[in-house]
Amino acid sequence: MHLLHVIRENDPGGFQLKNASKLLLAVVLSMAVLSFLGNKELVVFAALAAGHASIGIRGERLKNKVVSILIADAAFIVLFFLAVWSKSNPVLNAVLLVGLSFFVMFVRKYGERYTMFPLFAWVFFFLVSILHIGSNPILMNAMGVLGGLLMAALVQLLVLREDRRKLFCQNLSAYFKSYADALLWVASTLKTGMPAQEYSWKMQAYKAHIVELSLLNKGVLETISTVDKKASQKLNRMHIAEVALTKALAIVFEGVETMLRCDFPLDDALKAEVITVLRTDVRLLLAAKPSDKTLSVAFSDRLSDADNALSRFKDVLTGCDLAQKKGVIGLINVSLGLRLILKNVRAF
Amino acid sequence: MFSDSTRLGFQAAVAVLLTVILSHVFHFERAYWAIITAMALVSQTFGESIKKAVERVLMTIVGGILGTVLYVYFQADPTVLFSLMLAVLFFGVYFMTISYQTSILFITMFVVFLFGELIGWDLKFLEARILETIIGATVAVLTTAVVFPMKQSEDIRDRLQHYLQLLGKNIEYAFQMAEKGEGVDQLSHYRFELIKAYSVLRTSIKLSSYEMLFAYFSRKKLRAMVLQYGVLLHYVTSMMEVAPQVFGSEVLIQQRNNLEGMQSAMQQNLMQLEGALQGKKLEAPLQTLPALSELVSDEVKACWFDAYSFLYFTSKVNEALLELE
Repeated sequence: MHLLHVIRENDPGGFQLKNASKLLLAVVLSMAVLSFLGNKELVVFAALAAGHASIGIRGERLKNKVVSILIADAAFIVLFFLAVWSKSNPVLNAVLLVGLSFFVMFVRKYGERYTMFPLFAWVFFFLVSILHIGSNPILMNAMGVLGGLLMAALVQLLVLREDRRKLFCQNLSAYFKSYADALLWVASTLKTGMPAQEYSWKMQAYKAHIVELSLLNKGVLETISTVDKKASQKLNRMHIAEVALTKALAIVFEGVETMLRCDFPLDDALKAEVITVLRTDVRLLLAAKPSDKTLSVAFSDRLSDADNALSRFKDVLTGCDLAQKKGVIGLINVSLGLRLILKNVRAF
Repeated sequence: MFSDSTRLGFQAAVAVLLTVILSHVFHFERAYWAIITAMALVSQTFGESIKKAVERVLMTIVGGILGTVLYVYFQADPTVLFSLMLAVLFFGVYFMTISYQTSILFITMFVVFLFGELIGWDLKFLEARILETIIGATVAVLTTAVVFPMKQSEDIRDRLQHYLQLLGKNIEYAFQMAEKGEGVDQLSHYRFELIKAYSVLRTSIKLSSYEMLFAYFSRKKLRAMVLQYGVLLHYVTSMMEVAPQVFGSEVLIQQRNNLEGMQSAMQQNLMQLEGALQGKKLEAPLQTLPALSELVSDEVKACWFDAYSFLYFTSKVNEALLELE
């Protein structure tokens, strides 16, 4: 269970898990298929090409993936022949290696997707240069490389497809759940009380976790924006609401902290209303259903419950005598934060 | 002069060239490990290269020893060894973008098993692997330090200054929204810019601490700065968040003169802090703002709540600036 939790935390959507599985499958398949020819050298080249090319093939939709495959395959074939051609001349080989080193880093300027693939293409060139090739003719080994590339392409096209829209929505669901947990914790803190110092420590942990979750989708958005402009506009709007919602929570957190530090005497009726608003918001967020089809979030009919709870709280607050109380600004900020939460939920 | 990627390209080319020359001059036993390490460790900044070099060398030692023990134990059973090889390859790839050091640990074990399978593995190989990794790592770190270097610790002053300027702009922007109701549609854009700038600053400060690996007090000071700039980010964005809702508020209209004074005091404080970053002495102590209780009457009206919040966050921004003095 713990391992699964760690994997989910570090790899939401299981993208790395899929990538690693696909790479392994491509390597094993290419080794298995080519081993029938009974030539060890061929198998080594196939495995090398399949493993390294698997890292280079990316793309959200079929068209992007096919383009990516063609580019990766062309690059690997060219690099294979360059390495074989230059390996008997150490000076030429070193010059090519140095030139490629420059090129690999230089192409990073064209975006994040050009970071890993060129580096692994470089490693492939280097390994082919240093491998002691035995008796096989060059063209035969090239067939091994082609076989490996073909397996990598097939696995990438047919197995464990990646869907970043879905990932975005999964991240958003996890975010709403953690947000709801944080609000529930604030409600229970208000109910039972807590030393201000202890509250601050725990609050920081909740805050850091929520910020971390909201940042996850920033990375997903960056990738989507390069391959799916239409979706990225809608998702960007949702991400803006996510960031603003995080800000609203920070304001609520700080408001409660101020009240606790100042021992602000929150009267029972008001306390009950604040807790009701928080719990209604928790139910609202837990009911949230982000859809990767429509790229929107449905909150069922809980939004009106949350509106009602907030307006009851406002009525009670307006009727209270708040003058001259130290820490009253904490309550005022909690009220602001609660309003901002609903406002930003609507922005989804 | 050059873009970051061009500079990185030159650094990688020089690092690989140097390692190739060294391997020819000193006849390295397994030069390819040093060359691959040099290439892999060339990073955008000196601090990042040091961080990756330390992680790579440590994990090569741990992974190498662990892999050797497992290889010796399962050497006689090729099926188990092959399964282990696939398993560590899987984890090496899985952790590639999640945790660099964990990935290196598994990749090193993979290398041990692969070599074991193809040509055999013994302690001499392990020694060569560790030694050549250290050589490659040293070349990469030296190259990033000498060839078109980009040191975070030098760059950090510019970033701090840029961040303070951005804070100043956003404070001005929040006042504009509160007093004139202008620019509300740009709120999310400005908020993003500020968060992004903080994130860049935080990464720079974190990486620069690797450049001062043995300067404990500097690292401590840098960590404190990260925290304080985070506090500033929170209060400035809170000001921005509430500002659109207080436009036309009775309290703010009454406090117009005070607000102008507060804005001007904060901008002067920011200018003084920027000057201090350039090595100038503070001309005068930073200015404080009147307390919230001095600004608002004893009566707390519900319709003034947002204006109180705005004034509160404003005073908190200035308090955070005073902490930076």
